Amino acid sequence: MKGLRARLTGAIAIVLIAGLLLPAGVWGGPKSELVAVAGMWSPPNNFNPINTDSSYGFYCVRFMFMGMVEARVENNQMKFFQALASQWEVGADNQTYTFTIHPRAAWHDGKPVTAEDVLFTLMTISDPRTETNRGAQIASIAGLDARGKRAAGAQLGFRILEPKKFEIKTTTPVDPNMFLEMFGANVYILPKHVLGNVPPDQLARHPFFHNPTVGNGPYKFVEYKTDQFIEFLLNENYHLGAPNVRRVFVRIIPPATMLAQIERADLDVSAGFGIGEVLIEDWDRVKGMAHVRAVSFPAPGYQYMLFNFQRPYLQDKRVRRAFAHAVNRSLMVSQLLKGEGELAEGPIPPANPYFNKRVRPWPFDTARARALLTEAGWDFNRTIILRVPTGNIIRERSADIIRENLIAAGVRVEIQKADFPTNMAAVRAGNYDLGLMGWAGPTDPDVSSQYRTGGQYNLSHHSIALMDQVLDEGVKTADPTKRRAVYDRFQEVFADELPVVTLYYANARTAVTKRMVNVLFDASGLFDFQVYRWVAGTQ
Amino acid sequence: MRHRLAVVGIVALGILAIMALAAPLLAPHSPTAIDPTTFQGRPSSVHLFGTDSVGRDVLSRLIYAARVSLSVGILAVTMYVLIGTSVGAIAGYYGGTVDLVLSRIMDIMLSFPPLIIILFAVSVFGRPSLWNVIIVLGLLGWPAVARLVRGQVLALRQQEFVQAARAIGASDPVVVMRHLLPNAMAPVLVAATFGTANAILVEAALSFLGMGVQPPTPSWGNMLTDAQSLTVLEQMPWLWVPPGFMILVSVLTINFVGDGLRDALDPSLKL
Repeated sequence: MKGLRARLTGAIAIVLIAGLLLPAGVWGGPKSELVAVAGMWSPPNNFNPINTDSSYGFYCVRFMFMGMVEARVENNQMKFFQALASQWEVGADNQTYTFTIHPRAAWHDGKPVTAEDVLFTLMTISDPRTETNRGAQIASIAGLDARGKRAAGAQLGFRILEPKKFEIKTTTPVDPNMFLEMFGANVYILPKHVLGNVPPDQLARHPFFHNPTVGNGPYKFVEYKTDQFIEFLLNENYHLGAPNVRRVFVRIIPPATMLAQIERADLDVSAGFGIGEVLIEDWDRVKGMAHVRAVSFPAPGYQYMLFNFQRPYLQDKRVRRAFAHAVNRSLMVSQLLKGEGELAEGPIPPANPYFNKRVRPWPFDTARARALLTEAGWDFNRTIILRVPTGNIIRERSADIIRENLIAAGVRVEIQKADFPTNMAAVRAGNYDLGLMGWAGPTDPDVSSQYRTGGQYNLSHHSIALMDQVLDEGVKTADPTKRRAVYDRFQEVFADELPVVTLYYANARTAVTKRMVNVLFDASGLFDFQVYRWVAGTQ
Repeated sequence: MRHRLAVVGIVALGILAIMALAAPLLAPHSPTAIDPTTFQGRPSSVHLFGTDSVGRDVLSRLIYAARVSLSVGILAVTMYVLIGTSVGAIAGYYGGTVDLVLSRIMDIMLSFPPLIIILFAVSVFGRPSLWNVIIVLGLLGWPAVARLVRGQVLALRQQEFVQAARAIGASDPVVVMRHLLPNAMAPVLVAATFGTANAILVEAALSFLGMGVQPPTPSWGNMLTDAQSLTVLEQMPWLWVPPGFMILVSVLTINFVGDGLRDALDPSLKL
């Protein structure tokens, strides 16, 4: 009996040790130039290039799938780099765009990437039966409506010129930067030879999106161990050059444990803005680590407070301005973010080329807030509900500050916290007064999906005629200088109407071990688009 | 020796109770007031226990949080002792099918992992709040008490004084209320004491997970949520040691009292 137990213990020990060693690189192990480990906070919901609903999903998708071009802001200017396309031309009318796919661009199963694949992707996204969140990205293409959907019998502005060359027409002339970023960089191409026969209404549930073995990017999908890690293997035939790092593991690491992982060098790259950052408390410590590069940069995302416009008492813009005055936003930046952030009154980030410097945030002024509320006839006995999603610790703390500030201005507030999906459902259903939310967008200043009447992410449920008019003008204006003037005006209208209160723009705080070379961070591409250039050292 | 510990426990509990009742008088600051000059500030003469991650006075929050913990402990346990005693008495007294059905219900409820059920119930109840935690704990805690009472009633039912009461024509409610329950209460009282300690721990766990008391109301559990970073754990002990210590002290002292009660009420030790 005793011998059996000893043997059993021995066997268990061996199994445990083997379990630790097997996925070397996942659980620490020797640091190799062949393996890199990235860490992000939460698991992806799927790997659907046209429908994954979180940045976690897109972070993974971008290892495997490419769009036509890559976008990046350099010196306050939008720049484009080749991805699937090796060349692209903008017609003199700002309405005709021609792309040539790289001759060696191929799917992971060896089939070439062709204009047929691009057409298939566009037809799929624009099919009203398809579940996708890429619609807004292609809405400017001829034949599509504002949500990027095709009406029955409508002709898509798409022409195949050669097997690897195609032309797209937009409905009206548009700013080439907008088109190249939205269609060029944000629409990932699907393999027609794999998905071509799947009915559009069944596509979202297709097993391919949990096991996307045929991609066109620098890395191939190996496996996803639920809630633990996603493993990628290099694509030797990647048309822009085979990656240097053979395997990349993207591990799911909760925020609180990320510091320990960075300290032990078990983690090479924190995934980045909004999905894998260093906690603000841990920031000073990471900056002091000898083996780590701590990178902080202005990020294209912001936290904001929604007003539910379905509540009559929040429809008066004096009330909303009073709330903007009441909330001490500079305190959030100086104390909650320890200075790692900026303020702005609107959805265009201060680091964005379209930012209007003349629009200043409404200053913190409790007396002014109270006066405005009195003027607007606010009922000081009313208790309003502030809905707060859990997960982002700084945002949760900001809720306590907001409540305290509003109470000082005479507004009674009750905080209701819930996990993100529950909170989102309540906000979508209009079951709230104030709500906290975060947003990260592309560099292009078109924010119609959030701030136009009926927009997919118009969570305030607002409808402001003047704002709609300016937003529509912005999309239709092709001339970059005139377009800038339109968005300058938009930001003025925004600060006046305040469909939401922009709370702060937090810097992204990321950590990269010094053995990693060529890891890029910047304010436009949320993620490093050149992962294939990563080099991992042995130290 | 044991009784000395129980006395210490009672004194400490008394202090906690006074702290909770007199919180507005004792706390140096409002528990929700934000000091804009110092977030996560070290203990100082203004803030004896420092400030938390939103610049609020830790000491004041600690004092106010005693209200939450004690009210959850006392109210939830009162609630489930009432339910458990009634159900247990009915099951034990009537026996037969009634007992069978009620006992199986108890078995089923006791076989679930409690925290998971509580988490589920709190979220189904709508939004998390102090009252929901109390109600959920109260509604889920009764089977253990019911079992105790049922066992006691089953044993007592056969005794002569009960049969005598029946013989002179006492109705069922009278027999149960007058003769059975008073004799069955000793173990219930002990269970209730330990239950209070447990309820305080569960509230702390729920609030730590964000499913308990809602901010900005302080509770020892949600004060601990600040400590979810290695840097805080290592370099800012004032954010998590005080609430942790309070949970420890309150649970420990209540358990001392429970031990003392058990010894005092256990007939086998009275010899």
